[in-house]
Amino acid sequence: MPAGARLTPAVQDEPLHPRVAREAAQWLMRMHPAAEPSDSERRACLAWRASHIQHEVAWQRAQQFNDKFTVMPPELGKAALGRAPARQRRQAVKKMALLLVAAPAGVLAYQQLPVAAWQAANRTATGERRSVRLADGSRVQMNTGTAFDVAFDGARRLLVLHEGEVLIETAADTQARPRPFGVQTADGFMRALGTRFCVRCDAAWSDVAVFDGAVEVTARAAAGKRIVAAGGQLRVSGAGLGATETLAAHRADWVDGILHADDQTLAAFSAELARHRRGWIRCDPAVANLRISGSFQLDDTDQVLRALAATLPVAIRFHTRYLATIVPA
Amino acid sequence: MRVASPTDPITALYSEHNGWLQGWLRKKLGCAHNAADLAHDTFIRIVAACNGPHHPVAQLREPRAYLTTVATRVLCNHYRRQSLEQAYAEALRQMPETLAPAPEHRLIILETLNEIDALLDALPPKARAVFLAAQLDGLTYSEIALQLGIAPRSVRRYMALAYERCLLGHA
Repeated sequence: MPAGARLTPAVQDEPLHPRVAREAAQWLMRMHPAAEPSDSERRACLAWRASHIQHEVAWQRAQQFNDKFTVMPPELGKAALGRAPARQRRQAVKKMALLLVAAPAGVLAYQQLPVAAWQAANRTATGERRSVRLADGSRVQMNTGTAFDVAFDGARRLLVLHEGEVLIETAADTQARPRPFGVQTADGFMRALGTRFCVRCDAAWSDVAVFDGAVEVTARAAAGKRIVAAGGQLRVSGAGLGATETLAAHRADWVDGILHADDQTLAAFSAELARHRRGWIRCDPAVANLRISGSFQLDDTDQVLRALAATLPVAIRFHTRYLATIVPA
Repeated sequence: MRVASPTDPITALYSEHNGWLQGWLRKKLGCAHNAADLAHDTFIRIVAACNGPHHPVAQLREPRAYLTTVATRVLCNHYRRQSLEQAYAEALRQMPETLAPAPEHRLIILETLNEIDALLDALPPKARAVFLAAQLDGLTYSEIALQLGIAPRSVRRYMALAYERCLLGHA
């Protein structure tokens, strides 16, 4: 059974379900060297990890956390982490407890911060792009604002994409029984069939674009799966699978730090540019429908904005270091 | 600054309340420079929260209460980091030269400590002590129970609690 089929009914929007975290915490406590676990306990733990992909995700994440303790001299860690809390801080925390009662609207909004994504093992900041190689030799190029976790075990290779965009070149598995390679997003599961493909995870949908080989896409919300061949792309959302379309030209130009526009509206272009820029870009409705074409260097988004002002009847206003608006010239 | 359009709630929030927020933070901190930085962090957090179809800011009835909530979180984080840095610097000073980490590793260790510290934040003091003893002293659970004068069952419960918090974050 592919990993995605197992995941579909159980996985919530949050990558780690609180119940899974609680269960995992029990196992981590029992498997800690300080607990001196027995062989039968170890076997039971392995069985638990293998029984659901989320178990393995939780396990791996905790191991990465454990590893952090190994980079420092223990006495230094004890002194810094075991310090007595400062007075100012205790007061601030107390004050916060009051606010949590007083401002339910604020609390609600605060809880929607993408905490899970912040804790993901592989992450790029806004404006950052990076390439990483996975344990099996597969290469993952990460676009701006991307976060993913990796869960490999004896039966499968899984990449859990929390947000952002990745271009994956899968490597042939070196194990005797090659394990399938898959990507899980909030919207669906993409199973690689020997390939180079791109997955982008937005708040409301996930896009798959296939350059080589093919990818089998399964929607989480609705029934049905489809194979997308090289040269195709597809969107999957809460409504299920969209139509398979022809792969857009320049779809993976971001890998080389280039943003390409082909007769795009200024509103769409600025939204795309904003992904690569700290803060945000507002596009005045009066100029939102202007059209733009060209290739732009992503490394200097200020420069791109200035280029807009030079070629279109618009002006750019920088209000602070992180708020820019595009207005009629 | 340009008058914000009603369709852009964050711009509105920013332009109407940024000055007030900086003032509020300045009063807490007694420092205008830090206040500007923390106000900046506060808006960054809000922008991050609003990069989606659910636009919580649009429905805010009391924007200043919301700003204060997020800013207080930022402020707590600031104090936490500050006290961590002080304790770290002090511990480095007291370490024998030969055992202290190389200068090029000190910042990496501090960043790692900060990540751990943020995750362990809000953990009860006893649970924190148990977890640090297991992770850094290499003691067994029964030794930790003896050392801290608590029941072995409590040691196991605190360990599990610490791991659970780490897995869920501290939101």
